[in-house]
Amino acid sequence: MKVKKVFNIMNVISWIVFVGYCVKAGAITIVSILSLFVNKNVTENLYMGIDLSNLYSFNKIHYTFFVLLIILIVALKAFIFYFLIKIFEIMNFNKPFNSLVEGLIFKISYVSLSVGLIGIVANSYKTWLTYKISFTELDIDNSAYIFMAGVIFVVASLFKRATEIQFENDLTI
Amino acid sequence: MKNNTNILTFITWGLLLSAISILLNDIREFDFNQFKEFHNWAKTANKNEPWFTSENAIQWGYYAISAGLFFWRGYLLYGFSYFLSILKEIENGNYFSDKNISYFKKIGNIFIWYTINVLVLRFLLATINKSTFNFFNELKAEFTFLIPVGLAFFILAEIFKRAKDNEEENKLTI
Repeated sequence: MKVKKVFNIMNVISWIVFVGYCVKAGAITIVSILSLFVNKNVTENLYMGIDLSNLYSFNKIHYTFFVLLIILIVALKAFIFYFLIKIFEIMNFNKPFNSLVEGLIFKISYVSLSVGLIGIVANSYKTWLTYKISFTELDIDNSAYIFMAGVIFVVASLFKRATEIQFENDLTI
Repeated sequence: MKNNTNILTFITWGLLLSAISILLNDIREFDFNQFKEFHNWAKTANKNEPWFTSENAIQWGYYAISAGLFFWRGYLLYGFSYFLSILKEIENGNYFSDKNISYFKKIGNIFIWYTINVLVLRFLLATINKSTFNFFNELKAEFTFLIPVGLAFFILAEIFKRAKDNEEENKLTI
């Protein structure tokens, strides 16, 4: 019963975080498109105080590439929570082990790894850019995601083993 | 599986050691800069004033809260160290052991308690410093990562309990 409650709380949290990341990714995408084609002044507040006006004035290509990296990271984070929501949808708590859930957990680990790696690239790119110009301090260090990817991968491997055992059990019965 | 656990053990050790060194460095910096300031204040403070004046209480409160924040960071690292124990169990072939289940529960507990306590301490610190405390921003930073992860570990513990039952059933059948 307690676990069922935690399960439901996790589902609600996943939805909230998923919607939050979707809104963030959408807002940055729309504002950056506006900044490129309509009004360059919007670069002063891309999303919740992110000011990239200096970067825009410095070089449009660097600006576009940097914004694309940010959008990619946020979108991938949203994807992680999308997979999590899918897991909650599919998973039967009485028989939790099946290949669909296993596949989704593996996918989460790969996406987490991508977030971590792209985060490292974006962070290095930001550091390189700050030598040339100054712009808003952005926290895009996602190295924790690499660690989490490893943990999730191990969990997924354990899940795979458990699925095999459950399948074997079902066959025996 | 064994190769993966070895790589992950290596990464976990790297992360733990770097996090511990950062924590120790922060504690050292805190001693050097903040404590000196407090000493200077203590020298010039009015000695006729009763000990439990509001200024005194605020200064000590500040140190107590800072120490509390360091403690919780250390506690979080202690939680991370459980990953090493889990990996060791897996390496020994005990995938769904009771130990692993309890480790997952402990990690979940530590993550959630860390988040709640750090939030409360940061709020108190902001009150003492008379600075602004944006609850939503503070919560967002921790909330989007540690609380879902903590809850996920609770669920994992329960799921692995089922896996353990299945494994036992399987062994009995054979």
